[in-house]
Amino acid sequence: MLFTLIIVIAVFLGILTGHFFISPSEIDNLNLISSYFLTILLFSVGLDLGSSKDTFKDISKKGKLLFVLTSAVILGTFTGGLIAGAISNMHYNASLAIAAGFGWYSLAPVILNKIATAEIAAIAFLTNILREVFAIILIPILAKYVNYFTALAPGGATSMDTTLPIVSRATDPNHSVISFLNGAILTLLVPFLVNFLYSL
Amino acid sequence: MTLVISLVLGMTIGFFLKLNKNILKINSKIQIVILFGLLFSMGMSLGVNPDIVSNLKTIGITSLIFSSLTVFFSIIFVFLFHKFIVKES
Repeated sequence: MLFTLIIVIAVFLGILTGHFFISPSEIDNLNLISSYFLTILLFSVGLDLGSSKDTFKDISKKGKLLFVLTSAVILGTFTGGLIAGAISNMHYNASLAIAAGFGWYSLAPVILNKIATAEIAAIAFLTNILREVFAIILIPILAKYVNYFTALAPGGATSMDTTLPIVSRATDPNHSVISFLNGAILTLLVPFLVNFLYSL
Repeated sequence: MTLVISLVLGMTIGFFLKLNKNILKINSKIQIVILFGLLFSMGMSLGVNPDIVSNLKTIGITSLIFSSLTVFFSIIFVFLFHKFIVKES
């Protein structure tokens, strides 16, 4: 619970500080700082994973779990997207394309800005940012109160970078490896799926 | 790409050097501090971005519906698949 609390406090203190004390012209510098932190953090997570015996054990079993996880995340994301679209009176192709960002908020909106409307792109932007924020908060809670495997669900494409350190702390090396591969597959699928689903 | 290289580099070093428990403990403490820094700076990027703040007022509800339902059903599907496919076999 302490870990979840630290996470929530860090994110919200950051949002408040950014909103009230920092000039919007600093946004590039902030992104640069984040990427430095993330680079160091992933190196540190790598040290943990490399040192653990579990990381390279049972590769075929991990492959099966990975397939189950990625399929479930895709099906769940599309189901949620379709229902959200129905509630918001949006056409199913736009709804699926927004959902298919899987949390990767810097790519899906760029694609949708070209092939769809500015409003759909803006919704995709905010939706995927919020997905990342939800993932950051929910991963430790799910790991503690449900199970490690279910904690891999919310991250989507961010499971390979921004939310991987959280998965790594909240679960074990076994699940961290599966999380990384799941994020990598979803990341590769995003450009293809967003284009394809919107064209439906 | 830099991020993947950084992760793989860490894994390679961890794998070949077989770091002892004390170093891994220190590593784990450093991780918490850097993670706090990362989340804080990510939060700042969100709070400072005028696009996000202005979008929140107009499309905030729609985006909240999309993000919460996609996350919710991802969790439900992963939970059920784990329960009925992974555990059964």
